Amino acid sequence: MHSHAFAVSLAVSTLLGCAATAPANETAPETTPLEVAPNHTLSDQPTGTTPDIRDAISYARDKVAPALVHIRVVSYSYYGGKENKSQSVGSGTIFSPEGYIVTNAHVVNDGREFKVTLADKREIPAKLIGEDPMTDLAVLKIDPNETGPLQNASFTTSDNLQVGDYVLAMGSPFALSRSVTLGIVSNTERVFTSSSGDDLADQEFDFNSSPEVFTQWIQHDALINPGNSGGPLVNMKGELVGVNARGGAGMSFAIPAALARNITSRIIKDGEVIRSTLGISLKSIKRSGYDDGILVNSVDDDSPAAKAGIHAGDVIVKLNDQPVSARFPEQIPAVARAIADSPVGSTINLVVLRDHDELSVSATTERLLRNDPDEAALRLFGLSASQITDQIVRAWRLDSNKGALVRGVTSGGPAGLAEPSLNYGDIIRSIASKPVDSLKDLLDIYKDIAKQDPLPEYVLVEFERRGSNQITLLKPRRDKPHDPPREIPKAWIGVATQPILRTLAEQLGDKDLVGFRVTRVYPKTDAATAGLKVGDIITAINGDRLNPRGMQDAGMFQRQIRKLNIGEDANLTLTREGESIAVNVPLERTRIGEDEALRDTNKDFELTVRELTFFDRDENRWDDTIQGVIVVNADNAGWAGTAGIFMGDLIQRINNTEITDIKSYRDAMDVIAKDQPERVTFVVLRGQRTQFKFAEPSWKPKTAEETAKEAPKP
Amino acid sequence: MSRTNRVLLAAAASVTLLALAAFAPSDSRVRADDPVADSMKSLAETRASALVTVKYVLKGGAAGLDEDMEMEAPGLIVEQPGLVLVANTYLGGFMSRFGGGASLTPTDIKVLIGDDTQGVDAKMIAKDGELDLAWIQINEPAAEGYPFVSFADAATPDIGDTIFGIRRMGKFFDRATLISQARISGITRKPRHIYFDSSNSIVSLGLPVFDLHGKVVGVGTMVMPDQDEMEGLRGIFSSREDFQNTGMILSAQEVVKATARAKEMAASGKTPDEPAPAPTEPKPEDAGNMQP
Repeated sequence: MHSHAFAVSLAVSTLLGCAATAPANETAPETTPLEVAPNHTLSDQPTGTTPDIRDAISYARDKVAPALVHIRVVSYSYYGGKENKSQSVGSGTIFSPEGYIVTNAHVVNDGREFKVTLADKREIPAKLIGEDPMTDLAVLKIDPNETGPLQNASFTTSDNLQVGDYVLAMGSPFALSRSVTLGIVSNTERVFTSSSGDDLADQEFDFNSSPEVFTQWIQHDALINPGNSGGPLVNMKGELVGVNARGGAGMSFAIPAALARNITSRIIKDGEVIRSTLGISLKSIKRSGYDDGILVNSVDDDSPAAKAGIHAGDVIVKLNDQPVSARFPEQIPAVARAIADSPVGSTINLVVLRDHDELSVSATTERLLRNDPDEAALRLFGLSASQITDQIVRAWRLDSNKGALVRGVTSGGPAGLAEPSLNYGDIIRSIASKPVDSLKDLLDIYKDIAKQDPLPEYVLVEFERRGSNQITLLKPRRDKPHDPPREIPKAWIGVATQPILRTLAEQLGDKDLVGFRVTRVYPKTDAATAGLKVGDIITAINGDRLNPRGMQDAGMFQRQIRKLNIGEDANLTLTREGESIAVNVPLERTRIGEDEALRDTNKDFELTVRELTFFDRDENRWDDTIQGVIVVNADNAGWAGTAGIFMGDLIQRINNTEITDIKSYRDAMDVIAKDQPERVTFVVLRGQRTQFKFAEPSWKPKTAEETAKEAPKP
Repeated sequence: MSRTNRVLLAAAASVTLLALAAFAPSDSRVRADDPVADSMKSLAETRASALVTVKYVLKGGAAGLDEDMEMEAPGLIVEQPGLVLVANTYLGGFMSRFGGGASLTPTDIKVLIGDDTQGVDAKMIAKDGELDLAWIQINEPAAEGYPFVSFADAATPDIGDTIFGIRRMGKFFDRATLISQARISGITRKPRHIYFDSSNSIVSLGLPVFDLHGKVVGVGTMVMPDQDEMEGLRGIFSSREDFQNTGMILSAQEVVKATARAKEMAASGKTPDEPAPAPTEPKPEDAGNMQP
C-alpha cells in the first residue's frame, strides 16, 4: 500500500536501461504498440516559423483545455494498525461526453475520495470506475447531470506519431493546475529493462505491481513534473496521443493512445481489466544458447502451466501455431500480451523445446488474480486487517482464503498488549467464538461489539500463526480524551532575567553588581505592580546574595524563587540607576507551560488543539480580548488540513460560536459531530490577521468495497 | 617458644582463620560482625514490598505524531493509602524536556504490587519536572493499607557514609529484589539538596536509597539544567560525566516538601488556572467517526 505525499503523484523513475524495440513481428491486436507510419504528412506539424508554432499550440491547447481536469485524491492507507489519510494531486482528461476521465492508476491508488476541478474552476466529486496498475491507467467519472454538458477530448485514431513531432503536455505540475509545456517526441517505442539488460523490469505478474510488460512508451521532452501524472499528451491537431505517467532528468514518458483507448474501454465495461494467465514468467533467450523461442523462467505451483506439464527451463517456440521468439527483452511484451489477452478459460496450444526435444502441450488459461485486498482499521482492537485474496493464499501457501489477515497492530493498543499479542501476518479465525471467514465477517462482529456500552471487558480471539492455532484475549478500549498532567505550582515572579557575571559587572562600573538583570517585566503581574523595571539588577533575595558564576547559573534566580512559598513576599535587593533599593514582590504561582496545556484531539477532523497559555499571549502580544485555542496539529489530509488550517493557527470561531477556551471548543465540536453539517467555517488568527477556512467533512466515508459497489455501471 | 615466635604463630593462625572464614561453607547468613549484610538483608525483607511496577500507555507526541507506547516503570509507595512516587522521566518528562515541544501523557495506569500481574487502576495526580518526580494515586485503597516507605525520619548522611539502593529485576527474573551498596561521594545544595554516588551503581530513578540504619536518604533523580543553563554547559566534557555517569539522589527532605505540595494540589481539585472540566465520554463508535 502506498501513502502519497502532497503533490507527488508522478513517479520520477530512474531509468534502469533503455533500448529501442525490435520491429513487431505479429499482427496487431488492439494493444499493439504504435507502428511507425511511412506516410506521415508534414502538414500535421507546424513548419517552424514562430507565428505558425504559436497558432498550432493555441489550436491544440484550445481543443483539449476544456477537457483537462485537476484531480485531488484523498487516500487511505494502513500502517501500524491505524488508518492513515494522505492527499495527492494529479491530472486527467475527460474523454467522453458521459464524463469519463482517464488518468494514471498511481494517481488514484488507495484513493477513497476524488475531487475534480473543471476548466471553469468548479470542483466536483468524481467516482472511481476502475484501475489497471499493469498499464498504470484508471478511469474516473463525473456526472454531466451535475456539471452540465461536458466538452471532451478524443484519443487519436492515427498511428503516425513520429520522432520529432511537436507535442504538448498539459496538467498540474506541483499542483499548479492548467499548465502547458511544449516538446517533441523522442522515441515512440520505449521500454524499460533491468540493470543487466537481460530481463524486462519486474516480471512478476502481480496485480499490484506495474511491470509495464504491456507498454511501449512514448518518450518526449515536454517538461512534466509531479502533478502531471495522468494528464494528456496532445498533438498539434489537438488529439490525445498519450497519457503522461512518468518522467525525470528532462525525459518524459506517456502511455500511447491506442493502449489507453483499449484499456479504458475495458475498464468502463468491466470495472477492471480481465486478463488470463498461465502462471509462468518469461525471459528472453539472450545468452541461453537457444536461437529462437522464449524461455519459461518459472512455473507457479498448481498453475495452468504446471497442470499442462510445462517446466521451468522450457523454451516456447509456438503459441497457437504462431512462432514466437524473444531474443531480447524488448520482445517479451508481445508474447505476454498474447497470453494475457486470450479469453479466460481458453486453451492455448504451445510447442516447447525441452532439452532440445520438441513437445506439444495444451494449457487452459485462468484468470490473472487481483491482489488489492480490502483493508480496514479496527480502532477498538488496535489493529488493521484485510481480506485474504487468492493471490495471498498462493503467495503465503495458505490452505484457504478463510479468515482475516492482520496487517498491522497499534503500539500500546489492545491487540499489542494482549498476551500473547497479535502480530502482522496472523490470521483471525474467530472473535468471541464467532467464526471469521472473511473481512466482512470480522467487521460485522466488530461492529456488534462496538455498539455495546460498556464494551466487554475481554474478547476472545482465535488466530493462526505460521500454522499453529492460538487464542488470546483482547481488552477493547475506546480512545478517551486525556489531558496532560499538571506541574505542581511553585512560586514565581513575573520577570525574565539574565545573569550579570563578574566581568560584566566590572564593565558596568561596579563589581558588586553581580546578580540578575531584569530583561522583561510581564504586564499584569505582581512584579509589574510592585514596580520592577527592565534594567534593575537584583543582587539578593530575602538577604541571600545571588552570585551567578557563569551561564550554567542562568536559572538561579527563578530556582531560588521556586524554593519559596506562593503568596509570600520576596524581598528583593536591587540596584537601579546606581542606587540600591529594596522591593517587596508577592510571589505568584508558576504559569502553565505549553506541555501542560489542556488539549483536545478530534479524530473526525484530525485536528489537535490546546488552550492558550500566559506565554502564548506574551509572545504574540495578545491581550485578554484575544481568545481561542491554538492548533497543535492538523493532519494535511484530514478535514481541517484540507481546509487549510495549520499548526499555530488560533481558532477563534467555529460557525457562529465564539471559541474562548478548550471547553467552548469541545462543546462546539460536539454540536458539529451531532449535526454533521456539509460545511464548517473556522475563523482563525494567523499572525495578526484573521482568515476564514472552510472544511467540507465527508461524514461516514465508506470502505473501498462499499464505494466499488456504488460505482456507476455503463 | 620465644615471644616472637608466639606472635608469629598467632598471626599465622589469624590469617588461616580469616582465610578459612572466607571459604567457609554456606552457613554465613547472619554475621554479627557484618552490619552491611544485615542492613541489606533487612532492607530486602522490610522495604522491598513497597517497590511496585507501574504499567501505562504513553500517548501523544510532537506535532504530527500520534504514537502510543506501552511502558513500565519502577515506583515506590510512599504513603499507606497508595500514593506512589515515580520518576517523571519515565512518564513523559524526558520527551517534554528534550523532545522539541512533545507532550506525552501517561494513560491506562496500573500499579503492580507484589506478585500481581494484572495491576490495580491508578491515576497520575501531579508532577514536578524540575525535581523529576511524579505522583500516582492508586484508585482503590487496600483494606489494610499498602506497604510503604516512610520518609518521615530521614537520614542526612555525610561523604563516605555507606548507602544502599534497592530495586527489582525485570519480570523475566520474577521481579526479584536487588540491593546494592555504595558510598556518598559528594553533596550539593545547588540547585537542590542532592547526594552523589560516583560509582553510579545503586541509584535507580524514582527509587529510594537508604543508609546503614535503614533510614531513607532520598530517591534517584535526574535534575537537569534548563535551556539557558545548558548554554553555559555546552562543550564542557565534565558535565557529560555529571549527567551520564554520576548517580544523583534527591534528598528525602526535598521529596517530602514536594510530596506535600503534590497532595495539596490533588486535594484542591484544581490549580489556580482552573482547568476545563473533564471531557464527556466519547460517542459510540459509529457516530460521525471515520472507521468501523
